[in-house]
Amino acid sequence: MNDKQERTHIIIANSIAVFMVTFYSFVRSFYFIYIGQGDRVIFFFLASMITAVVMCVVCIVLKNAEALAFLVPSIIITGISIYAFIAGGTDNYFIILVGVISVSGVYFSIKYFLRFVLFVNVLVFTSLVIFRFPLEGYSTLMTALYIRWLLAGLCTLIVYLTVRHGVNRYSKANASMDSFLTMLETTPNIVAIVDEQNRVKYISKSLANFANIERAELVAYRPFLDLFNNPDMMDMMTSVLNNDLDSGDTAKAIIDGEERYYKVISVPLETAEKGRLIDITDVTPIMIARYQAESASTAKSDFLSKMSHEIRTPMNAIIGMTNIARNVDDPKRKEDALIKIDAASKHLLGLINDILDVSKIEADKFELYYHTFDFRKMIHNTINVISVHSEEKSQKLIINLDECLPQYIICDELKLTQVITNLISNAVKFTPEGGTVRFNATCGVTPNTLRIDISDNGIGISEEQQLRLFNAFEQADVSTTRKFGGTGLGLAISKRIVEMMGGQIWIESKLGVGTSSIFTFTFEEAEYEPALDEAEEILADTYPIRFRGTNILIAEDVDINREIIEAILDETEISIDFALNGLEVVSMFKESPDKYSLILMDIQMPEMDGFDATKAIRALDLEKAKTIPIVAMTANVFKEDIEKCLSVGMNDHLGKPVDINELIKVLKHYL
Amino acid sequence: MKHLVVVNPISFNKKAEMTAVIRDINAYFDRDDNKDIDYYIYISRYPRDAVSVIKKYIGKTKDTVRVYSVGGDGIMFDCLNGIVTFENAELAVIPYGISNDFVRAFGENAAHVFRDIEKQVKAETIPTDVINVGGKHSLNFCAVGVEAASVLKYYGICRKYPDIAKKIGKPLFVVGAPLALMDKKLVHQEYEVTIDGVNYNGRYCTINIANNPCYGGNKTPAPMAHPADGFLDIILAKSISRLRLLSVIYDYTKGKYYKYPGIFKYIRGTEVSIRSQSPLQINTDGESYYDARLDAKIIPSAVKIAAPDGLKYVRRRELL
Repeated sequence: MNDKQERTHIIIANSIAVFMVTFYSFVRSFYFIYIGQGDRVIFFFLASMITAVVMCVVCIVLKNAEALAFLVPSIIITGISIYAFIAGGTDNYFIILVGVISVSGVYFSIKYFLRFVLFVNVLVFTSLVIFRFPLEGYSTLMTALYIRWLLAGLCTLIVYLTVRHGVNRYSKANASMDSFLTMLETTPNIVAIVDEQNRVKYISKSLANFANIERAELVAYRPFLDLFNNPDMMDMMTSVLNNDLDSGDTAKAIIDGEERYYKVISVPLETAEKGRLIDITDVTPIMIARYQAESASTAKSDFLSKMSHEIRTPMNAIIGMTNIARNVDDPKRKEDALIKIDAASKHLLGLINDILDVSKIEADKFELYYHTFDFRKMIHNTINVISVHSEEKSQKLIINLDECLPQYIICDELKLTQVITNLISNAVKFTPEGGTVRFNATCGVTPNTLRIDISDNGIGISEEQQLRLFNAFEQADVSTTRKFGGTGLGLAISKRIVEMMGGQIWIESKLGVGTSSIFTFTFEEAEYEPALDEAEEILADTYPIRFRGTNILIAEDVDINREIIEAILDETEISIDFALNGLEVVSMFKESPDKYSLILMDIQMPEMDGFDATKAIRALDLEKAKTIPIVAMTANVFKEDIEKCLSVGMNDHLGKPVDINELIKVLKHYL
Repeated sequence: MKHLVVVNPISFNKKAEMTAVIRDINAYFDRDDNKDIDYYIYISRYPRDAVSVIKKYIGKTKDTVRVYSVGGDGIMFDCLNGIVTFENAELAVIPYGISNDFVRAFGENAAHVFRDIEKQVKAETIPTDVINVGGKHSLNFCAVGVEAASVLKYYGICRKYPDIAKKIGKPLFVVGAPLALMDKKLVHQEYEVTIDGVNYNGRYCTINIANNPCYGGNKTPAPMAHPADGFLDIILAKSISRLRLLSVIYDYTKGKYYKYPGIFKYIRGTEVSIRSQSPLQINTDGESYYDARLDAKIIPSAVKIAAPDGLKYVRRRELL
């Protein structure tokens, strides 16, 4: 029970008590009038009666009388009491006591005065009961006063206890409401309760924070829509209030330039006071995740669609040219078809490598392999390859290598070549016939940094398109794919490579004027010249290489792959036995362990795969089983695939499609 | 030009009155010579309901839209806040109900002219200043302190005793002022007031920021205010004893604040900021509320108001 409630019921209790007492007095006054003694007391009783009635009506109607409603009658009672005393003589001291008590209440706080009055009532009542004031010898007035106090005390106690009981019950109900409001205070959701006129009754702390309201309690009874200055939020709340937004719907709003999504629940309140509860939950992370998932799914579909097209194009060339080569007799046409098949195959292989690179990037498995190489030679080799295409388009290819460029550096030669190839290819591709492509390599501003600048006077790229170029699967324009082909992967991969090399890559371009693709990268200084490439050494010394008299065992389940390897190694005169699965290779080796000098092991095979076959061979109780070289031959080229091959006991790894130089290198190394 | 008529049903004592007004408006627009006029009548359902409706309506067109606020200053407030961000919007005030202080800026006997729909449709507009108070816009005034508290107390009584308020009606409004005066803390509240960068901190019983000379039905506390002069007219009333306050209130409401230079201070400015340790009790064009702070700024010529019969704003008193 709080102070306000206590004040209420004390006032009511006292009012009823006073009313009953003075009603008795009123009745008695008529008696005094009847017996001829009314003139001394009638004003007092009548006044008490009237003021008490007024006080009761005020208290009961307003349920919580203002101090004014209680104090004015007290003053009137006091005045009349004094009058009665002066008129009645010294035996009216008790009346004065009543008056003093009343007057003192004017200067007490209402809380203490009411309790004081209650205390006095109870005290007097108790005194009367305990001490049993004798009624004889006292004036009729005193007797009446004693009886009045008796009644007042008794009534006050009864009423007080009754009302308090009622108030306690009300407090319990309010306690539930208090608990509910406390729960709402702590919810992270934006919650508001509004009345029928959509004015605020309650808002949660979250809503106060959201609407930048310093003190939530100050917004009571304001129109709910006044809490929102953001136009999108106001529109959303208006839709909620107008029931245009179904409960549970999601709406979007731009807050501080950022898209935010909110789920709104609006529930009508079925209480005596009509209104509704509005709950707003920020579901932006969920919606963003959903859109990203949808976007990823769409991108995946687009990617598959693009890849399908890109893969089909060279496949069509391969299939078509193969048919031509088979059906024509003219050797020149056959040769031309084979050249085109070769070109299409390499293009297809490049495409697959790009896709694998993007997968590695997205899986965060893209790594650099640093080694020493001849930087200037690498550039020349790379440009030589591209120059074929630029010559076909009668383009001028201008190379400028700054003198400060080092000869030998430690970096990832393959990846660097990939970047340069990609950028120069783009320059050649998007420059019309007769145009100019410039390649410029200089030292960077900071130590151990180099800068490559590839510029052309081609079609150029707009600013808007430049923003999207380095995204995977993005090209400058949809029409670019149609006109120039490409998958939109090259720049994304190049960007990743350059960033991993500690550099930056960017485009400077103007539509219709030309484009400059610029990147920087860091390197380590090489202290020595690199050893000649082993393959180069081998090939330089001994190509064409012969392995007459040497037997190798090849585990390969796919017919065409067996045919390719046989064809590749035909010139080497090496003797080959084929096994069609892992079980066969183990059994064939077991039968003739000394026959074979090397095992080339495919991984994906029926019956038993290459890993299990290798483990089985290494587990054989034969000396040769421990020492025979086993080289994996597989399309799985990720680092962990290579590591797995080595971990099961293989000695080396060859990627598919098999490169003849790599194969020769392996044979040379192990045979 | 398109015409959007927004009606506040609460401004009418009886539904029949509102129906009659709408019928007259319909009758005008349905005349043969007005058949091409694009108009729409919307009946507001709750406070600020009309704001989004107006914004949507105006946002759909590049044509000029004249919004007619039919009712009191409350619906005018909503209409103003609906149009204020649009260059192609105009406001026409058609006063009904009790609180129609804005039209008094054109003179005391101009209300009937504004109720003529034909004159309103044909009226030229005059650019009018608007007060931006914490993101909301008002035309007449913004008061802080006892003046606002009177209205808040009245609303408090109406909420607490709705049946009594319904029976007694607007006369119950007189209870608000004495209850507000009884609040000693409010009468002596300390404010941090900044007007155009100058501090006017102190204890005030009321602060009146006026754009219009008239408010509160028959009061003209700021007679030199002009709705198109680009300035706010601010009156700061120092905290005095309540008995003394009772003695000066009448002159204050009649615009005779200058008789008490020790109590009332008049300042002309463009930006006002008010802070206080206790909540601010604020009244903006009849909208009463509590807030922790107040920032008011004049936006010169922010809206175009239809002035039928070529009426102009009346400056009731020249600057002293």
